[in-house]
Amino acid sequence: MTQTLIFGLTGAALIALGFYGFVSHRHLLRQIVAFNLIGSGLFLLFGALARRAPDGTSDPVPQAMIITGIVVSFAATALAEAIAERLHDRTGRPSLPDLDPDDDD
Amino acid sequence: MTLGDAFDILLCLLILTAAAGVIGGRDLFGSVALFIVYGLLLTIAWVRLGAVDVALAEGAIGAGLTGVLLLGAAAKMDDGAGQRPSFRPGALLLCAGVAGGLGWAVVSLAQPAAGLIPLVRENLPVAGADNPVTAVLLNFRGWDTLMEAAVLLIALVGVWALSPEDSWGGRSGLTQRVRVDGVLGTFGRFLPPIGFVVGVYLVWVGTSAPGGAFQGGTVVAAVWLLAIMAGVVEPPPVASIRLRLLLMAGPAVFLATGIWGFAAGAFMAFDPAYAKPLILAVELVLALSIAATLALLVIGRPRRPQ
Amino acid sequence: MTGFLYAAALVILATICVSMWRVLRGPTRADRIMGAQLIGTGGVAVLVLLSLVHRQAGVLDLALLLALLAAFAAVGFVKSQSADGAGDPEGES
Repeated sequence: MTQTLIFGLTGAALIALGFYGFVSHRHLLRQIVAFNLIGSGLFLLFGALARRAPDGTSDPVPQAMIITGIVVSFAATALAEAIAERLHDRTGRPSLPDLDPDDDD
Repeated sequence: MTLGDAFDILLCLLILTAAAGVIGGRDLFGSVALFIVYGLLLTIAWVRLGAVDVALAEGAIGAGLTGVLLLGAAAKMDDGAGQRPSFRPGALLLCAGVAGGLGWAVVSLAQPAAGLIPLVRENLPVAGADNPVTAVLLNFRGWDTLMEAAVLLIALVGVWALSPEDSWGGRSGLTQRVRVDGVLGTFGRFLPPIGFVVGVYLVWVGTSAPGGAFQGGTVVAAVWLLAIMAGVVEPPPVASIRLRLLLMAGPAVFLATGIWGFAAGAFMAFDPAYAKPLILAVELVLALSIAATLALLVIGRPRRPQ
Repeated sequence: MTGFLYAAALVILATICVSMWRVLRGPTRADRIMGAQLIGTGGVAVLVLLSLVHRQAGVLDLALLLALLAAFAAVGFVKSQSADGAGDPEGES
């Protein structure tokens, strides 16, 4: 059970850290990286909870779903990166324009 | 506390340090470099959790492909200014709440539970694969895997759709300039054959030991990218019919075996007598399609006129 | 024996901490990537030790995979450092 606790709590901290990075950065690439932190934190949390069997083996069903998740989040990352790069090519800016003109941070 | 626990705790502290540096660091490039390190450490964490299949996927995709994708993007989009995360007290409070809630859930769930292990064990003899993770991926929850292959294809169509009118249908990425007798050129000729063997081995071994179509396909994708970056081969034009057939072959074969499953009673039901050769065939074709899709996702949109 | 292997893995993790410092501090991009490569090497060593502890199939394959992909990441870095991301630093003086 120690492992479930150690890695599960790390996963929870990673999700929160990634979420904070996602809302506090304006640069699109930093937001994409933060999104990946949220994803991997979720996988770690899920994987830690999959390791609760009394004989110490890891549940294969969550493992398979995590592998699927890793591949899908890579596809999302690649698409987001391509969109961000295109935006950068066209506007020269690495971030989205402000919606609210008063909010200049 | 045992030595194993000490190892786990130090590993988790390193993971958290890397993640904090990824978010809090000023330099965009440094953040991406740390993200590669983070992927590596996470790979070790998966081994500690007894999930070697996941470790293979995380190592190949998280530390390998995502790293190269982000390195290229960071070099293009880095304005040299550096960014600090803005301080947002409200968001900080919300994140602390999320961490607290999830942490509480983990603590309250940390009791022995067998989960779905008995069910998988019971059905493994008829699944056609001795590796339980592969059995879940390609048989018990084959639906997920089919949809995942479709998601990869859709993402690639999305990336291609971002190309300007004049380069549509052309080759992805730019023409690579490489000194033939240099380190890069030598790498590009020396490593791909070794890597290709490793990739095929991972697909082949996947039915009985950790490995499988996704892990093996990712290695083949990395090897192809290496050969492309070293100027040994050119990516095919996106309008090429052969390329499109290759991209579609994996999901198509998987779907066809799923429909053939009606013979055994239901969609995606494998007759135990044929399950093993069917799964192996699907995995081999799927691995090739995945390799091509992943590599093209990393190269990005077409940039050269046809 | 397991105790010794864990102790060795802990020592390597400690060296990873030192490399992590280099990745965090820089100052140049090459410093950061070399630090990351060194962590990759340390990671391979940890995995080889863990393969003896866990006696689980595939851990050695994973170490092999990481060793291969470290070269891939290095090539990706070298490529990204040329002006348009397609050149060869050795070929352009």
